[in-house]
Amino acid sequence: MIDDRSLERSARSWIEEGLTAAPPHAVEAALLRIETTPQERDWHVPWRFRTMTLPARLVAAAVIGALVIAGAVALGGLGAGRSAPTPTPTTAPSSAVVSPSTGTIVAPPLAETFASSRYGYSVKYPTGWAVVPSNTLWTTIGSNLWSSGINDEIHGTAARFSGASMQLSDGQTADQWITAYASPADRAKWSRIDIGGQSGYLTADGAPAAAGAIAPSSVYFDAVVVVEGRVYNFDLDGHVDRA
Amino acid sequence: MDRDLVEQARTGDREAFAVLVHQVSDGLYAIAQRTLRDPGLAEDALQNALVLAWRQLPRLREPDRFEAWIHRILVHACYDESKRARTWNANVRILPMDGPSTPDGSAAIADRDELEGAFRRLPIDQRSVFVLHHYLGLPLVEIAAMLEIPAGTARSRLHYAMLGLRDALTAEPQAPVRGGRLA
Repeated sequence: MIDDRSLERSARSWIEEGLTAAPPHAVEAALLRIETTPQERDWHVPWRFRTMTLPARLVAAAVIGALVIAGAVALGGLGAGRSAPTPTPTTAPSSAVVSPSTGTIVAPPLAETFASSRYGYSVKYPTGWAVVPSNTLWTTIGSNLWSSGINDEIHGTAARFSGASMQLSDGQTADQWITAYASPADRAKWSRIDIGGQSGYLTADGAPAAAGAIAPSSVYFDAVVVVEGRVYNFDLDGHVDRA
Repeated sequence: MDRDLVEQARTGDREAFAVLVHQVSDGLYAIAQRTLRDPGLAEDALQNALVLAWRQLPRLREPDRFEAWIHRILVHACYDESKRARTWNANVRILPMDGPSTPDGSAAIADRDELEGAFRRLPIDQRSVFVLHHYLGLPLVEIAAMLEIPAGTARSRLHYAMLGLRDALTAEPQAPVRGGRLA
């Protein structure tokens, strides 16, 4: 009968035998795959929201209040084989929002409108912000990273907005798309949000922005809404707030 | 592990991630090879783990925990490869080999052979805990945290793995099936 100590010694000695170096071709193959693999976006939702400064709330209110799904898209969609209609804003954003902690806050005037002919939405934004329309169509879930050229991006000095949309695949439901977009664990943390009169989801509810964000110690929000078989994804990054 | 490299890789820096890959690949491969007992499956597990780590890196909350985090990804990649191997093996017939049941008469080599066979018969989750504990030298509590399982479960898996190996070393040799083991 073998005793425990001998068994452990034998097993340990045996398991230490064998290869210890990864074959170079396996490592190179992995790096090659990584070259064409986008990183997933971080959907982590913190337990507590950070306290926002007054200017931050102003900017936030300006941006989040301005988001409008174009009526043309909502009604007609951008189906395959159809040309994209020129979207027009359907609602005007409110000029003020109420914060439970600070009272009424007057948002900056949303004097400008960006209409995305590629993706079929429009958004109002403050004067002075820079608009960088997308130059590449969004076709792969998870590939619409900041500065990828896939999103339309509108920048202020301490906050930025991005927007893109893609058609659901044949037979794909909104639920299936959303499941592919974020892990089930993260999805449970999503909250509902009204976007241009449509029911959407807020997927990163004030999560700390990763390095590379437009402003240090800032947060971001990510919203998704599915309208007529098309998924719209809008992000806010920087000194922004859901209010 | 260089925290700065992890931070850079988190924000999409592929060159930083490539440096990390070269730092961790040997260790990951050694674990995969010992767990799966098959160099080809271990290569696949390594590749899949590295690609998945790249994809999910922005979700890593604590860069200092990169090594434990990527070990967990590797263990799950090994689970996947193990399932794939089991499906493939189901179509393979076991043929008895001719010749003596003990290859060279050496007790030590015979023991290794028995250990090898017994280890391959263990469930993959028991194998993983065994390798992490006896090869990597990780305490069971750390293994439990890494795999996100209760400490008692980690202890139980190791216990049953050792029982399986003990049985193999104390059991009578079974000549008809020797040499026809499945991976």
